[in-house]
Amino acid sequence: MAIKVTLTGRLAELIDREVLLSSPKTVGEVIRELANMSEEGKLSLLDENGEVRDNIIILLNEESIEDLDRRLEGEEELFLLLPIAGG
Amino acid sequence: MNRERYARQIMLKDWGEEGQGKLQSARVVVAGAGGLGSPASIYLAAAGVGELRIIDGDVVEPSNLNRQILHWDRDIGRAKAVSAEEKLKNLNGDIKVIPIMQRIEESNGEELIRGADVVLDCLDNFSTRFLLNKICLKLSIPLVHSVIYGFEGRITTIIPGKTPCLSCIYPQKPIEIRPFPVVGVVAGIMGCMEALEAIKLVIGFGTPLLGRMLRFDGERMQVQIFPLKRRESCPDCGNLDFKEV
Ligand SMILES: [Zn+2]
Repeated sequence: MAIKVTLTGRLAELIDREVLLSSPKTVGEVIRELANMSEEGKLSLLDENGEVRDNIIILLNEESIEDLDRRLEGEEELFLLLPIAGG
Repeated sequence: MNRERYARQIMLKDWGEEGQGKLQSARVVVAGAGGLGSPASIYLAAAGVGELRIIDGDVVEPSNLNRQILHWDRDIGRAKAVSAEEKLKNLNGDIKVIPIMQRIEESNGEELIRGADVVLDCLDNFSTRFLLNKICLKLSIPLVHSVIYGFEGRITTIIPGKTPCLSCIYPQKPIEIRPFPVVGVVAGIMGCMEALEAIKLVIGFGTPLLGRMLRFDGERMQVQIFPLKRRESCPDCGNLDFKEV
């Protein structure tokens, strides 16, 4: 079973637009695993204390979630939306 | 009022002459005359918004021209607010366009925004966007916020005291990425959506994106709409007396 993570913006450029990770995993574990894939990406995902930044919009099945301990068991699709400011 | 000019929108039951009258008396601030502000202000002018205040302290650069459709080859080096005023006045002579060649700062922000019925956040950086959010909360003015990056656009409408604000959405100060990539068409789509939200707010019909964010992915042609949460501890809006919508 796999968790499909869709990345957007700068993170997609640094890592990939879609990443498949094995389940089960918590949302927090997914984000940490992605952080290990890119040094620059890590800066936008984790803060100085290694905590997941709270300015990431996390969408799970079209709902935004905040619970980093949420367990992803089967086939799930996660979107990580980092803050963007272009205009 | 030039009825013929606006006939096709006045035909709409929820718009009508009354709605057109509201637009004519409306004062809308467009903060930023760039990728979002160009299409937004063009459609607001065409729709007959009575007063458009265009705030932009920058001059036109060649790298703007893939998306900032108010500015043309011959405008390179010209103040964006002035270039915008010229085009918008030529598009619709009935309306008043006020060009403001300043950046929004702590010192001048309130003065520039005061009196507006709606503000469109068409800026291109976080620090000014957060400042504009704070000013609109303080002056209790609805703020339509949109952002773009590459093929992606996001938009939400913030009503002080009713919806989450920008600092609720992004509590930690984000890292600025400059320069950012932009597909001009995506800026166009998002700027048009901002204009539509502003028109709905002014006339008072339809369902604006209150407490919800719309995300447009132009590469995959996907649209997602998801709810946003207010943070009780928000430093910018936590002090407001909330009436959820
Ligand atoms: Zn807030």
